[in-house]
Amino acid sequence: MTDAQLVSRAQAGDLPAFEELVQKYQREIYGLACRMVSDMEEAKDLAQQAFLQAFVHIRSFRQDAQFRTWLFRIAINQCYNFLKSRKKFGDPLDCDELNLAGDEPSPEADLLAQEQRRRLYEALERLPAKQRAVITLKVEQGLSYEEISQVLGGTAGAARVNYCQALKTLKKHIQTEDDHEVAMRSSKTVASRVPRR
Amino acid sequence: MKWQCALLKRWLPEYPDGDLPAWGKRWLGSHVPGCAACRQELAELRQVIAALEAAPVPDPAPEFWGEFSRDLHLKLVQAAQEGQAAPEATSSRWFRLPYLLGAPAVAVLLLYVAVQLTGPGAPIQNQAVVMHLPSPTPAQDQAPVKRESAAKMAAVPQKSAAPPAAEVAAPPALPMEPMEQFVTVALEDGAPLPVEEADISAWDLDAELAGMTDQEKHVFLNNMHQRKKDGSCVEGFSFCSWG
Repeated sequence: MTDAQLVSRAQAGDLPAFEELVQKYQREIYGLACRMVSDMEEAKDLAQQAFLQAFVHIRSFRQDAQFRTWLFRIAINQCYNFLKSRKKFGDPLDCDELNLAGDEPSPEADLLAQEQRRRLYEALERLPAKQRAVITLKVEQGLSYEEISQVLGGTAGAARVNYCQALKTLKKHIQTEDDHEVAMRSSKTVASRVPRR
Repeated sequence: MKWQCALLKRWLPEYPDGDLPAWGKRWLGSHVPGCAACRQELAELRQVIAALEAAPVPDPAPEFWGEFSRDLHLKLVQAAQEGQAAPEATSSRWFRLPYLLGAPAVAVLLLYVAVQLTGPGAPIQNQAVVMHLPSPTPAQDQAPVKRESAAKMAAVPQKSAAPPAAEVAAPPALPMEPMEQFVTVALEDGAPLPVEEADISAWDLDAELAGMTDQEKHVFLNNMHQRKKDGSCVEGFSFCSWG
């Protein structure tokens, strides 16, 4: 059954039809919330809240846009409200909880990949909320600029500029962490070379 | 090449097979291979994108989704029950409709009263004064309401010939304190003044006279006095006409 049919049934008050939509999009909404607030428990609550809001207001949804885009918009608004209420961009993501271990063939490669992911998540956390949203919608959810502009407001051109800016900022943050790490290592090396009296 | 680099940077993340217009693809295709800075920028951006794609949010265990669905189901059922209760709220809102209509009705009533008190239908202070009627007719004996309307009509400057004096009622002489006085002059053939009507408000009369030469002024004033004497001048409420 297509989204439009399910939405029509949900608009008529059919709860199972709406729950089918939930099953279809719960991973995407949860992933978006997780990226936005960097907290798995909060992301779960926010995803549920987004679905609840969608259900309450499903009758006001005119099927001009896709249901998925509409749902993303609700979820993004929930995340913005949450971030506003906390006045900060979430607590640091727990890397152990996120299960950073990949499918690397050797333990050394696995450790290296974990380190890279940790750095990436930390750089993502330092991004402004809107840029984080643009990157998540574009790279992870695969939305076009037009769809991103429907979710976040503004134009497709503005979404493109935001995405490009977000990538550059992310690259800068990652490089800064690399430089910082290199500097720390070199200072340790220098310190170790200094003869102790 | 730097200005091109600055222009093309925003398109780089989409190069070569992304969401780009055809001209953008062509431009990037001709520029990037020859520009070391853009090639390096492109390589770094691709690294970032690759890192993002390689590190998705991990999918939680099935138990997580089971709990998620159960919690959400309870919330949805509760919301649905509250939604079914909503029609009662709607009906009570419709029940309040007379109260909602009351305010506009009162506003319309107030507007009507204001129009009646101050508008064209309002009772006129300083009623019309018709100084003289040369040939009164039975129409003079009509109801006061008709006299009022005739006086009001007379107050309106008319381009056509002056109305018959018989149509203008003759109320008892009252002290004449016109707030605004129009003098309508319809000149006869051969009269010294221009053969056309002139509407002159009282406070504009001086200005009107000031615009005349002494000879014209003299002729005008003489003519007015003469017409007042021979009765061809009719003065009504804020109105004086020669016909």
